[in-house]
Amino acid sequence: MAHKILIVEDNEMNRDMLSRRLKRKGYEVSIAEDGAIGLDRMRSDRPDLVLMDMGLPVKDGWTATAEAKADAEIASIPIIALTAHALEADKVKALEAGADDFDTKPVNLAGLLEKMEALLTAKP
Amino acid sequence: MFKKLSYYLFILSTTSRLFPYLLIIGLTSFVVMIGMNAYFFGLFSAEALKAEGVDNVFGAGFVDTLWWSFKHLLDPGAFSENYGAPFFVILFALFNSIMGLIITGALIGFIVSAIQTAMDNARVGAATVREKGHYLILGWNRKGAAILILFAKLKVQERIVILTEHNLDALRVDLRQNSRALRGLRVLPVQGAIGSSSELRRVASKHASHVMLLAESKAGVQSDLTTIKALTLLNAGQEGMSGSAQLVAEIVSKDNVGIAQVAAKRSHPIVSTSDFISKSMVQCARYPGYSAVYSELFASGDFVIDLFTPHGLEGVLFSEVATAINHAVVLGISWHEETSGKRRRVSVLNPEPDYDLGEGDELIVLRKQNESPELILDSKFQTVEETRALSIERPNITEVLVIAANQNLALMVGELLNHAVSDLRVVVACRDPEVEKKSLDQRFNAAASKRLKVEFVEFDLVESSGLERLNPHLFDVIFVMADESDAYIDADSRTLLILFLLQELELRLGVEKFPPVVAELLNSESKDLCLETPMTDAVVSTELLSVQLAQLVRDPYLETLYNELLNAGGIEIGIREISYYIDSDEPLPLSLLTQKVLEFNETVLGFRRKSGEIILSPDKRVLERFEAGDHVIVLAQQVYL
Repeated sequence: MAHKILIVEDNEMNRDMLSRRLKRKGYEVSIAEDGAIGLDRMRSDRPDLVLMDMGLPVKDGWTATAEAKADAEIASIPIIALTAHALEADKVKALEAGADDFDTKPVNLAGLLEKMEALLTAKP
Repeated sequence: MFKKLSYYLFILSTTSRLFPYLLIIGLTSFVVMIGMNAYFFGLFSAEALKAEGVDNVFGAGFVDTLWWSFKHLLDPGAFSENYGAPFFVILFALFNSIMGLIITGALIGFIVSAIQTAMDNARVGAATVREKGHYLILGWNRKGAAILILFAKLKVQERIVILTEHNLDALRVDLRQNSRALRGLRVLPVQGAIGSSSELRRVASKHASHVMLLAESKAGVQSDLTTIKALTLLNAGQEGMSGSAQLVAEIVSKDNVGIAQVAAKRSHPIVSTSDFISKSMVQCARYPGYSAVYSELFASGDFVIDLFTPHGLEGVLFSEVATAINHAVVLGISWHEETSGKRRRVSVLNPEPDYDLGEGDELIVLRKQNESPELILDSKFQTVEETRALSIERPNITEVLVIAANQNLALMVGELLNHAVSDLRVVVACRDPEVEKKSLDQRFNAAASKRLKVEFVEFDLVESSGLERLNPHLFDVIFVMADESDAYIDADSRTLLILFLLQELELRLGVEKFPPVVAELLNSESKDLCLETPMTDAVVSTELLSVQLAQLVRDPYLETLYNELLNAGGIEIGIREISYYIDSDEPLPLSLLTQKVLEFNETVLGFRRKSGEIILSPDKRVLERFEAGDHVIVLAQQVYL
């Protein structure tokens, strides 16, 4: 069965691109435009993995990740943080917020897929 | 009774267009009847019949009497023919002749007046438009002429109907001034309110193929209310416009975009002037020279963005196809997607080089008007195996000086903050700091951002020495905004004066590097006057926005592309030194440069020579030699370092 991936991204083009590429790789993809909607979708759809942009409106990705990890019901859903801020500090900040892994935009699909598969396989 | 009759006459005269003619017919009949009374005063007596003008051809009865009376009414000269007739007959003839002169005079007056009214109506465009498939421009402002010039360049054959509340004489002056550039266009100006459904019907909005709403200005102030009302009318059922018609609307304030989108049922592009100007100014600050590239790309009319669908490319990587297509720059990919039963076109710029083209994918290409994309058949597809991160100095603006202020200030500060990597300090030097601070606080909660510090200082051109105290040379960028607050001083003149002051200051201080200066101008002709000043970029809304509107009404799918290019956090146009990609001064084919740039996940649009010359969509087979100071113009994902 196809893994359900939730993309939380405010930029329409980034969202469309990543969504199309993942669908072609056989994933079932849903999307959310900001951190608050992302959290709602995590609770309602229970995706297998979340790709979370960090610079989001309404509720940023760091806050949404921290809240997701503090919520026992969805804490086990792996989150990969995505950001255009390619700073080491951003990576640390994302991991401190509770993200399971980190990747920068523009994404290298092969690298991202490796990280996704590792998390999906390790998921209890 | 008399009062009642007068009232009915008044009603008839004010409501019936036929009243003047009915009055003449009635009066004529009345006078003819009076004249016929001459019969009882010896009209056909032996004495009267001696006169030349009295005939009894039909037995001196009713017909002869009618003819006699009518003849005198229509022909005053006939009076002399009654010489020798009885006195009363002559009296009736005189009465009819005089009344005839009055009635004929009135008739001529009515006819002249009707012709004059028809000519006036034609001049103000009060006619009903009987067109199908026409272009309809609703509203008129200074962007209108630039839009028409682009339509002329695009060789639009359909009639272009312009409906505006403005005086058409002013519009005609605009058209006359650009008559050369508008040659070949069929333009019909019509005067009327764009927010009236009957007026929209009059200009056949229902049958228009393309509708463009421009913000009408009243007393120099542009309002979005009329535009939103017109949008509502156009999208309300069958009366407005055809479902297949393409529409684009200009909204002045970004705050009104949401409501305009609701009025447009979220199915048409809405362009916000203030949003566009503020974002363009920030992009110019980030990449000095940006406005020239943007103008060349979108305002010159030399380039078009369209879709190209080569066959047999399934499975081919984006990097391969990007290097193999000549006479065009492959900007991105487009496809159709079904979401909740709705089919929408998705467009993505600058995809990753390893994106493999699939079924339904079309290429978004930038090409010259007169060129068509072609596959370089002798070229081997170049695969970019691995992308690299470009370690370049990214724009980082932290200290900003804004001279003069207008309604775009809050948006611009917000946009600067969106791009800011670290803390941002903005100094606003304006005529009335308190008012501007209040206005900024209302529109943008500066205090909410811990990273932002906005300071207001008083600055007026009458105290130009105050500019030096601001130490403009110590800022990362200087913005000069169009100040239209004083009706007696032209905003561009004020901007020009500030630029001259900055020039004088730059020369006097003798600083090694003066910050980039981005100015907002209202008229593109003013740009030429600023060539010797420190201005690095000019944002002229009439120039850039008009082209965007003209292209969106023809290709609505470009909306996401335009938005993406200006928004923070997505794909942007970058201008980078050639040395980041190429370290050789040997001539090299441009296909190689394309590939080198793709390695950094970027797309080459063209290059800018040290001299300032901009070359876009160059021939990939041509060998070019680059030198220090040359820049590559790329599409790139914004990365903040």
